[in-house]
Amino acid sequence: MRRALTIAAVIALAGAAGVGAKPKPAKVAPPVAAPAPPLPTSVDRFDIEQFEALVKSFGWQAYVPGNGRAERYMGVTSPLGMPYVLDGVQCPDATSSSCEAIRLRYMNPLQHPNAASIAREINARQFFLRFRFQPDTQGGEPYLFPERTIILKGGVSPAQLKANLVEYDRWMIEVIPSIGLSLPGSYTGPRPQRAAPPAPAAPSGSGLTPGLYSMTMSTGSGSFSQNICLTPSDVRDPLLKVAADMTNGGSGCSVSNGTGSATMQCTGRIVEGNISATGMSASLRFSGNALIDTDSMGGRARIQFQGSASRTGEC
Amino acid sequence: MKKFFGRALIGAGLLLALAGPGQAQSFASQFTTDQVRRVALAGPVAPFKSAEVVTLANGNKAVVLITPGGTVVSVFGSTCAPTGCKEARFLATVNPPAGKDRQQLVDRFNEQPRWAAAYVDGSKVTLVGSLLYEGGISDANLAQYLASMAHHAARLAAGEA
Repeated sequence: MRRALTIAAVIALAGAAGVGAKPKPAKVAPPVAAPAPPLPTSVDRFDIEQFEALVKSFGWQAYVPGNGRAERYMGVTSPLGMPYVLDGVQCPDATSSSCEAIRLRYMNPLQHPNAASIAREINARQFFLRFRFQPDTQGGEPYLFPERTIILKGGVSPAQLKANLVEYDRWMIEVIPSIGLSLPGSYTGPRPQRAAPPAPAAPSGSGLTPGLYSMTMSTGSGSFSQNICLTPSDVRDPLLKVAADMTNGGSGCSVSNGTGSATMQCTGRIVEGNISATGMSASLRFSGNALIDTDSMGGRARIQFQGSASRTGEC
Repeated sequence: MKKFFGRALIGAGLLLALAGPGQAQSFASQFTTDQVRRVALAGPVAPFKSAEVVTLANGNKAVVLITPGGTVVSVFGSTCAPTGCKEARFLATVNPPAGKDRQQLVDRFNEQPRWAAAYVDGSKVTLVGSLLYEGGISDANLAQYLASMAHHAARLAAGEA
């Protein structure tokens, strides 16, 4: 019995060792990539590798520059091809993984001659974006930086981060054309009509903030100033308000509007007129012409006028 | 049988003890005046001495927070549906010292990578910011935003960017 067991054991061992069997190529397990660490349910620091994985899980592209991971910033691209930079801010020390907040910025330079007024005006009329401006040290047009900072300290969920990215993307696609600049070539979504920088048409909603405006208008023979109050409904098409103001509250006049322009037809001193916006973001600039009744006896003269209105406060 | 129940109770107690620290964090999935008040008065960073809930003209609720130094920060819901508001907006209007160039102060403030933005509001300076609630906001995270508003509003009131 003992001998039989011994024989069986020897056969078993020989089989295991492959004795007497054809040599088989050793089975080598295919290389298995290290499993990706599970995505966190909450983040409270800007860990760039963790953020790269998170951003990709949102369906965005993420790119960490350089060959190291010591950077404090990464490139991210929205599903519509908008390129942004995500960097760490509020960093208590020099390590990239210690930053307690992140900042989203547009990757391409935005230069505009009215960068300061655009930044100030947009900061005053919305809560989500934060604009800053900076002169160009090379003497070019100043830079605009629309940003969104998200505090991570205390813990933020991935869904919260994604919501901020999506909302920032939406804002940028809207804001860039509205200030007369082009969306990048990488953008694949529908392209809104870009306002031409020299004479941008009044965008819908005009971008003006409701409030009290100091308006100055000049013609070839003189100028005058007065305050006008633009209500939330007025700022949708402020030219109507200006036209109505020019025509004594619109009495005896009908005022119709086009895109960034208005036409006046009157029975008083102003017989007819046209007015159009020549720039509208932080302040309103307009110009036009009017046919006026010079003597109530059939005399007519066409005058040219131009003016501007800047916000001075609340009505 | 007694032994089984005893072990089961010990097990349940251990689970609760382990779960406790992780669940101390409270989240809100939309703007609530309760969370803002609680965090403002008793959160990890609580720079306010009072938090009063008021109803705005549009029917939405807001919380008016006042620091011991007298800085007033308002927090109100936005992007609202009948089920609640998906965004909180923060607003503080301050009066910097007389003679201080408001525009310069605001521009210097906005140059820094901060969360909130400032703008000149007549003779005053207003600080604004927004917080999206999608995915939930923890008390600890909300506390940072409230503290940031209080801190920067107080600095702007003192004429410091």
